[in-house]
Amino acid sequence: MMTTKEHEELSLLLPWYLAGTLDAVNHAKVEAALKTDAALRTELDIIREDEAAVLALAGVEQVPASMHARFSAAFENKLDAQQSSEATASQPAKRESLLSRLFAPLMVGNRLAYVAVAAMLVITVQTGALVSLVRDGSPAQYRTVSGGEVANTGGLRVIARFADDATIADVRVYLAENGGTIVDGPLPGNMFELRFAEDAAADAAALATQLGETGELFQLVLPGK
Amino acid sequence: MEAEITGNDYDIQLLAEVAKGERRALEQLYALHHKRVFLFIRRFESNIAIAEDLANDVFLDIWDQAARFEGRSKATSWMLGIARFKALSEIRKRRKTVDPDSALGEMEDEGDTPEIAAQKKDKGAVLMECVKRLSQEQRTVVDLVYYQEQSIKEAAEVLQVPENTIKTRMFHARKKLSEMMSEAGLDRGWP
Repeated sequence: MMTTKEHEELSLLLPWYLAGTLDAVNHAKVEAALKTDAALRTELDIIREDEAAVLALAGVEQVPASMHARFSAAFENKLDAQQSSEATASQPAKRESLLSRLFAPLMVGNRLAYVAVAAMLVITVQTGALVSLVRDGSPAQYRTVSGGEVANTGGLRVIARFADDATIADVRVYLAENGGTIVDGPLPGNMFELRFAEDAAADAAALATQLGETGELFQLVLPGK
Repeated sequence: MEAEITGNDYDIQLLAEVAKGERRALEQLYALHHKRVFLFIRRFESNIAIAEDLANDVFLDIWDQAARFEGRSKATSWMLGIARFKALSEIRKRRKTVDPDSALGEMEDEGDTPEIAAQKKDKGAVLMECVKRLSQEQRTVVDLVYYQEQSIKEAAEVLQVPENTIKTRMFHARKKLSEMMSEAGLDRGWP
């Protein structure tokens, strides 16, 4: 039987247990306690709601549209200043035209390179495959895979995490049949931003509920911006 | 069996390349992390334009300081630590006569109150309004844990506080969220 103090100590650790960032020893302690402690399970369910709300807020919060271009300009200025004050040999970086450096990170060609980087980082093959759908679903948008500037093309948006056992084929077929596209991701929490036509539901909240009830394809669906 | 390549491994590799002056490596770091840095700074700085400049400055600092990264913390923790320092420096610079903590307390509220949100939206939307209304200190820690995916030790390093402080701040943030939900008529049965 767990003492009140033990319960409280484990309760403090629950957010990190859920986030998957708890060390192995404490993870095992929490896992064991959850099997026998109903109150702890209730707390975990509430924390799951909190996490979803925080991730949803982060998902809809955008960086300013000018941010990337302003960074490129500032970085360019910094490189120029360094070059004029240091010997060329100290900075072996390849020089390119100002125009290409300012806009290269925002263009589709480079974006594909970032997609490749992101795909290399993600743990599961499935997530990597989903990244390719991000590219497929947004052929004309200028943005980065990190979720930076997203062109506003309308439609209803949701933030979704696919079920662990959903295959890329399942996702592709579902999106094709329902007029959906993946417009951004992977976002933190392995979430993806999906866009559907305006008439897919009354609003994003209704669409999220509707998708959440569609079979076993989605693990979590939240209304987007 | 192949070792798993984590995001942190790749970030560390990129930082090593940045330290050698590889500008493409910094651009990749920027592409991967500028949103997380911007959102973290927004927890300290309510002015979006200033937050944008500060976030970009973080990456320019990384260009200068990458060689100092020793790999003792996660790369994102190190970057967020730089971001926190920059945000607090900016606040101190602007308000030399005002305690930074009290300045942080003046962050503007956004959106509906949870009660109004409850009248017109669903539970998830109400909870999102409640998260927005957490104190700056509590909002920062929930973002660090859930969005930035920082462990207890990493979050403590980023915020320069003891690990127990992180745990109790998180606990009080959870408690506050449940209290606000309850006030909005959505009792969650805890605490």
